[in-house]
Amino acid sequence: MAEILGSRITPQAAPEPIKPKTSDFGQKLTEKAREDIEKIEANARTTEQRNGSLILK
Amino acid sequence: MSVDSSTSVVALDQDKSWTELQLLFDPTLNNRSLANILEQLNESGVKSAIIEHDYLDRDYSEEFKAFYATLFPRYRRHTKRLHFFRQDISAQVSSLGALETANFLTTHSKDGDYVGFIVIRPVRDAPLGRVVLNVLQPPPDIHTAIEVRGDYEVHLLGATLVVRGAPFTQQDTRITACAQASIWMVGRHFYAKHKGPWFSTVRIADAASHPTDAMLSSSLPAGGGGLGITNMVRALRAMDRQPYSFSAEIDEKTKLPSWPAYLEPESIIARYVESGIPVILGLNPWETGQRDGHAVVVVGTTFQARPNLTFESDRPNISQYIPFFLVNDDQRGINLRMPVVKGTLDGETPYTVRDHVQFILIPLPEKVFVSGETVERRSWDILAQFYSSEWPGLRQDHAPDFGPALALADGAAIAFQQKQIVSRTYLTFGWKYKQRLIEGDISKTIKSLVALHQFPRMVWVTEFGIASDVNQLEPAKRRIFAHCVHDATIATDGSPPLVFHMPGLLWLWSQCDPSFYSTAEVSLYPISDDAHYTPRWRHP
Repeated sequence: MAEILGSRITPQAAPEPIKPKTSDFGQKLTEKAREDIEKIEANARTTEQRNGSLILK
Repeated sequence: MSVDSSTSVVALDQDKSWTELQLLFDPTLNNRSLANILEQLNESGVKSAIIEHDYLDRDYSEEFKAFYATLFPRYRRHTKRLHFFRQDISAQVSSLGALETANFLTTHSKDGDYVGFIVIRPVRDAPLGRVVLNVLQPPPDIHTAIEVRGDYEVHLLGATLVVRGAPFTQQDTRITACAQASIWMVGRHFYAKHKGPWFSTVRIADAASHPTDAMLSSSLPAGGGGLGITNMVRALRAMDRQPYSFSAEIDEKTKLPSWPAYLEPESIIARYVESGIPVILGLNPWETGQRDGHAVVVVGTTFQARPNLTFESDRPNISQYIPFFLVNDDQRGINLRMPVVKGTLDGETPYTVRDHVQFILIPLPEKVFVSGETVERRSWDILAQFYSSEWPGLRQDHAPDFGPALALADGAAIAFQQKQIVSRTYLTFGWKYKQRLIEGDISKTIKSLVALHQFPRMVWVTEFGIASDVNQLEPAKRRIFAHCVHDATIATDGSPPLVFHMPGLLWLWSQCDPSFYSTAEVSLYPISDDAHYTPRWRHP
């Protein structure tokens, strides 16, 4: 880094990182979670079909 | 006593004064919203009011230009604006000089004595034009909070007064319906809180009717007889909102709305209202002979400690502690307790979440590309994967690094096995998440690591707590042990979270230097000074 940009701020008293047990932890969903999310998102697509005739007064 | 020709001050220290005020604006005593609002003002200890008799209101001026000015009956152009105070200030305002009066009112505003204002339109059956009041009175043993609130500045007798609250308007049935009124309440909040565009009910009606459709031909003027959800979505888009909705099916036997187990309506509402987003509920008719639905706006939540802590859901969340939502109903009043299920004591509406909510319409900010429901499900999945693939090995290899947090981690692991963990998900700004975390009581090591971590504009936060630690009436006494932060501005399935904190452990995912495809690298830190911490909560 150029001197004019100063020195990077680093966390105070940060512990040494350790190695996760699985390299892709947090990046892949289980099949069950993926199915649940698909069902959640499918509900939003029913808006017009389910509410088309409801008049709010 | 008169202060000048168009402003007066009145003491409201007797029940008789309130009745006279109500009769003045509603001689037939038929207006439920006005009765409700005056009752709440009285119960919150209001003792006096200053009335501006010829107030030129921007909202009513638009209605006047678009409609009332063109009618044969003669309508006034001016409204009346009433300002309410918890102390009887009538003697001081009548006797002090101009500067002293302005300073006196400013001081009362800062002390919290100013509770807000009502703009009264010269329209007999819909006088409540614009209302912002801070008058919430909770029943015993229930914590209540207005989550959708902004600061509204008013200028009165040379003083600047501020009230914090949620906006309310009454539908003027000549030109609008509840749908427009609910959209107005949503739009006015975003205008006051987030510098969104200013929309009157006239502009909302216009935005909702372009392009026009068959629904609008059912009443005169077009849209005055009600709107459908498509019209409402159009108006919200015109306000730069990104409407997102969930809908129930109608049960063939009971004829009531039926929601699937993975989409509990009370959970959906809680996620967005606790994010400070006003949620519009589309309600099915609840009375025999009622043909049309109704729209109300959720502005707050409640909390009641549970007598038992067993849950039917595999992934229970904060809605398990919520008996009511607080709604602004243009036909009934403000801060009304709408029960989640029927038969709940202290309910104030004839409709309930479970029996009458047909759809939930969420006016999201434009940059949010993932729903709270998706994020909460992802967070639970990461939690489950942590206990299956990470925790056993990490505990074995690094137990000494966790220090006192090891006992906390073991306790949380047992709670997970016993299904005693409760989640809570909300949307917030990335900078605000960081600010709250640094100002809160979480471990100092976590603060120093997160302080230098980069966040997008909007993030979803899912907090995890043990059911008994959350079961506290006072928000400041509740405790959580973990949380997960997701980028709200990206919808890709394979995106990791930004932060995942478990007792004794902190994962941070950072953006790598630019490469052809966007990638993140993960760092995992042991946190030896970890402990329970306070969840996010809003000061009253």
